[in-house]
Amino acid sequence: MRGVEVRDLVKSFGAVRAVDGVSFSVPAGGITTMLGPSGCGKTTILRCIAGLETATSGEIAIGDRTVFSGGVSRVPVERRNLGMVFQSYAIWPHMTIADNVAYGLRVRGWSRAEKDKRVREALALVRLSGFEARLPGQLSGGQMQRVVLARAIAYDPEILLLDEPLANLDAHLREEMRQELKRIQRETGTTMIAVTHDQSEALAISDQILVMSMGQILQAGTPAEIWQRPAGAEVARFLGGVNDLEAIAVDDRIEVPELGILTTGVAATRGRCRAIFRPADARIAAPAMGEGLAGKVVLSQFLGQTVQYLVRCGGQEIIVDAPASGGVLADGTAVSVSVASGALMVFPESAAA
Amino acid sequence: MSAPSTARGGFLARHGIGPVALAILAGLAIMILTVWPMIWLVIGSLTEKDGYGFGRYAELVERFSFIDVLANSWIFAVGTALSAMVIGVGLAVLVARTDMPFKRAARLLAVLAFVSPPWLTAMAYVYLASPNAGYINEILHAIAGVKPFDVQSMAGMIFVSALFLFSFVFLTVEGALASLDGSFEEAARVSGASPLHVITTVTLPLVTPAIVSATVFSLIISWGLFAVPAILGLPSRVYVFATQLYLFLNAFPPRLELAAAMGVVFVLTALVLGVLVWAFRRRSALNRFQVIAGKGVKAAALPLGPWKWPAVGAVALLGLLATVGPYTVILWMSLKTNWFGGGGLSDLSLANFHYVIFEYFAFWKITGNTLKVALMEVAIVLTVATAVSWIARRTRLPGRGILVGGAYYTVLVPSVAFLAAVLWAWIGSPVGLYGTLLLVAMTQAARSLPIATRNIGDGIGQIDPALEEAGSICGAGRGRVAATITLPLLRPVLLAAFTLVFLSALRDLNTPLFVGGGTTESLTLSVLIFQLWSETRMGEATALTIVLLLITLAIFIPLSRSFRNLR
Repeated sequence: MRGVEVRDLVKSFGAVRAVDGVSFSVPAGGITTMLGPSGCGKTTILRCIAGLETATSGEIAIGDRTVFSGGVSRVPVERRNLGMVFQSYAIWPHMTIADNVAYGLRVRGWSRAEKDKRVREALALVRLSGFEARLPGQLSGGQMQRVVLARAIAYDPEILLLDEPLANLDAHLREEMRQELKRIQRETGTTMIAVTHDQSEALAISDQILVMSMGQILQAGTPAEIWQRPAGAEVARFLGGVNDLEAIAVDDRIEVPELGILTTGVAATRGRCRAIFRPADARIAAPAMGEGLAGKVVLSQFLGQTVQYLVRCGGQEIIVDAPASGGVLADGTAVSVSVASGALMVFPESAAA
Repeated sequence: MSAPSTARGGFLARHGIGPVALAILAGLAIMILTVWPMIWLVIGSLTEKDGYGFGRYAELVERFSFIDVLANSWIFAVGTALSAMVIGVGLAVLVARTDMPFKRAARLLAVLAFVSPPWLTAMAYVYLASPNAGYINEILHAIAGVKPFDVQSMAGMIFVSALFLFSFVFLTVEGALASLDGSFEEAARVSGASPLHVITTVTLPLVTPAIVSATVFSLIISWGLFAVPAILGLPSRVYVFATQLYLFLNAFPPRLELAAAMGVVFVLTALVLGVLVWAFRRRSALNRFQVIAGKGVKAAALPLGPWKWPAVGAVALLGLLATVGPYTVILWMSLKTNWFGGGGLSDLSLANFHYVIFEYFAFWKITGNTLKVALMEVAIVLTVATAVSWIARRTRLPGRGILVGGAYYTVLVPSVAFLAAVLWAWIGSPVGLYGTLLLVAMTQAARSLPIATRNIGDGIGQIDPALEEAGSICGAGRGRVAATITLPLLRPVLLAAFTLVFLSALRDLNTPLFVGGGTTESLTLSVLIFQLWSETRMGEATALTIVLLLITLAIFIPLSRSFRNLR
């Protein structure tokens, strides 16, 4: 079981720096996820670790082997002993499921008996026993996903790389496979590095999350750390903070100019700042003096557990998720919106970028 | 850019020794197959008794009524290409876009026309419509006292050539139509346009790039056509580029420099046309036609209404003129032994077949030559085309574009001009290739490289790179990935290319005739057929044609069956 060390990694495509001096370490035996919007460089980093791309500069070490340094690949892909789950699955259509899973074993020269045994074990691990003789064309999306996993772990790779592993699955299968991934990680102890643009997926499966943007890492931490204490406005926005207001911190209050007081009891900062909060953390109430921004309900969507309101406060639109038990307010209702002090994420304007 | 340029790593280390070695070999092969001859064509055209100069070009104009030949070639090529376009596009629209019945038969008709040798149609029409002894002319003379048809003329040459070249246009345009998103047409019909209006204002404009390039390539193919102008034009002294070249080569002494000079003129013309098409396609691809890309919905067929049966009639007539008629006539001729007097059934026998198979001294050798040449050609083409496509699509080697260009550009060189080039390159060469089967195979291979490289390149392009990357990740080296993943996935494409190349090799007349050296050693069936025909031994020539067709079918039918198994 090994970890991965990435130091000052740069990958340029022409004048564009897709990966811009990234350093991080992946501890052995857990799931580390690179989370970010498309084009943030996360897949490029994954492919550099795999050896499918050659970075421009920096260093990559897998365990105690430096596989890339000084702009040159020191160990070619096929000798890095990795497993990879491709977004498009990449199951070879001209081979049976068993042949797909056995490919890495055959390359490594395993004997027939050992190979068959391991294929059975790997398929059992992903709960596909009995599928050995099938062809890929006969499988559903979820089953394909399991075959790829089985193929990637069959030969005990040092690291398992997952490129948007769940992106091609429909919503309910995605939840199921999320659990499966975590179960398989716990059962095998393999170090996994995943790439995703889906924050809930990253939160659910990861032991460590690297939040990325524009080729750089904005924050590294456990899911709870990232969720509760985002390091900057961009991380906060990416992790569900869709309400983003320009505000001013006065004493222990956060005020939005001309609209009112958003919350009290926050004393971390002074002056102009950005106030970011998630819809579920906003409170909606009848207009009152003192705390709260005055606004009007523009639109409501009944979602079952909650009601999602679009509230217009002056020139701002705020999204609020309120418990459905409180009933649904009619469009046009005058309301006041506030945020519990602990749930508001406040960042000084200079660092908000 | 502040990318630190620490040890960039050796060229070999970055690209891998295997790919670099493969690229060098492929480059050498391309050099020998396609570039070397063209260099010699230019040298040859400038060769004078002592030194170099433009004297041959001047001689062409002054002594050989080159202007007439040039004019004839243009008339022939443009006439053929335009006729082929009208017929081919019409049939493509009927088959791909309307509710015409018997579409499969119509498609089969086009495929048959595509694979049948041009000389077959020409021979059949000589029998039917030569000005004096043509069968139809004689009948009409007996009835009405007129002999209206003369196939041994410019009009006849265009007519007969268009009857097989339309299939090339058809296959190209039908492919484009089939991948066209049907919702464009449905939108037009919902807006109230009649089916005819939809075709002229929506369907055809959208496939204009395909129509234009198919037509221009028809033009270039027409310049290279030899069999039809030879069989129909030589007797009536209507000379075009290919037949004039043949005369130069068969003159005593052979006028190779004149052939080269004329070749250069046609190559340049074709290159200009090719560049124009490329520019046109590029522009239209950039501006207007991106919409075609993407998964299309298959549109409902446009109803022909009262035109349904006239359309069927037109297609049936085309089938009769292009395939059914000529094949029947050829069969009839091959069985006919008495060329004088009536055409009674009592004259029919298998005597011609008996002669060509059992009495002609070198039948088995020549048949063997034909198969050997075809096999060698296929081996060369598939190897080089696969290597070039793989390098172009799967490596980042510098200069890979040049490699592809070298494999592609002969598509713009009229067939006969390329043959003149090959002659120049090898006839006096100490390597001693001239007159061998290998040179015939190499030359055919150079001709087939563009289409094979395109098909195989597209095939590789359709393989998700992740499939190969998955192999590398699993620990397989480049060679193993190619052998266990890329090539097996490419098998259907390789088989299709094999069929295409093999079939065209079997019926190719130009190459073995021009570069075969004229001895039995390198004679193929098609050349023997042409020789028999030139000696006016029509029965034997047509019988041998039937034999060649049977051999072709015997190979093609099992191949097409293995295709079906693959799907």
